Amino acid sequence: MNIKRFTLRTKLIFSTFLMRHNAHEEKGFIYEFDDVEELKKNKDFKKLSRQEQGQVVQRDWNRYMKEK
Amino acid sequence: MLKFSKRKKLIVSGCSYTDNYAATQNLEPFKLWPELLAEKLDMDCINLAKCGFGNKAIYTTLTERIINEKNVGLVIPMWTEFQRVSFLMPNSKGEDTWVCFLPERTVLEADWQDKFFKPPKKNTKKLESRYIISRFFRNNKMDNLGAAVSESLNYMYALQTICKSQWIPHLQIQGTHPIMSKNSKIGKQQNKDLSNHIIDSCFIDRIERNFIGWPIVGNIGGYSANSIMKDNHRIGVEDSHPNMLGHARISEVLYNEYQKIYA
Repeated sequence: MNIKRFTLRTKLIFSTFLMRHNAHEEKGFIYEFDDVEELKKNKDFKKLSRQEQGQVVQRDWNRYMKEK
Repeated sequence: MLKFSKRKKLIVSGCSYTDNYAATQNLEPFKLWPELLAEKLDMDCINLAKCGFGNKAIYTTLTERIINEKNVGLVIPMWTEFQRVSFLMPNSKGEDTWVCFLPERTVLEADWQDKFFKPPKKNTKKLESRYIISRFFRNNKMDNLGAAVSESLNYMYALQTICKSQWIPHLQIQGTHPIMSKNSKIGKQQNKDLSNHIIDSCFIDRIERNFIGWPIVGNIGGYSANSIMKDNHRIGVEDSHPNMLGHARISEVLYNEYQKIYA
């Protein structure tokens, strides 16, 4: 094993105990308004602004991803 | 005007971290890191990035452009998630267009959308070719992490080699976290696997210091554009893309590294 690999492998072992998992996960709006036809019929959902609707859907997606 | 400009050119490619993602979300416009960096370096900016691009698309757009362009001052790929797949396909007008997606996310997204389609209505997401291809990839483990790491590192090394052979100044940086994030337990294990694949790669000591943040992953001492941003550098809690401050931060890091290597 070369020195570089040995050093990195050691770092990786220590990081298992010392580092927290990166809290900043890759999140982005995947919300596509046309895809949520059923949700658009919901009365409460309809009252929200377009931006708020986006956030509701996004939050739901993020929650779903957290459980996966 | 760019065509006749005598100034050197900054050529970049990447995904939504480099393209105008804010415009796709109808957010207030702001300057992106490539424009900010080009201003600091007094260069013209050619931004080839597109939201959703995979690393194959980033590598190809950049390589094809730099070998045909004169007066190149600096080249920067900002790499994306390793497991994204990229296909160059003709669109409805017959023009070649990159179609890129992450099979795992495509399948999960379609499953999540089931609840928006009440029977007998079918989930239209699951009828799309992108979903069918993604399922096939997933079922046959064609998007496995080891292969994805190998492919992406090959692009990184190839780009470095091409730039060096043409005497073109270049920097590289990872934009997003290299793999799709999961809940903390699975995420931790996947990060570990990712790091092991990078350590075992034949490129580990061949990628040069022009790659900012190499070896990319935090647990082996690397970093990405994603990991250098704080909360106030992001669009919001639900959306971790860089905002105006985030783009300024990224351009600052790249400018400093450019100064260290080339000034």
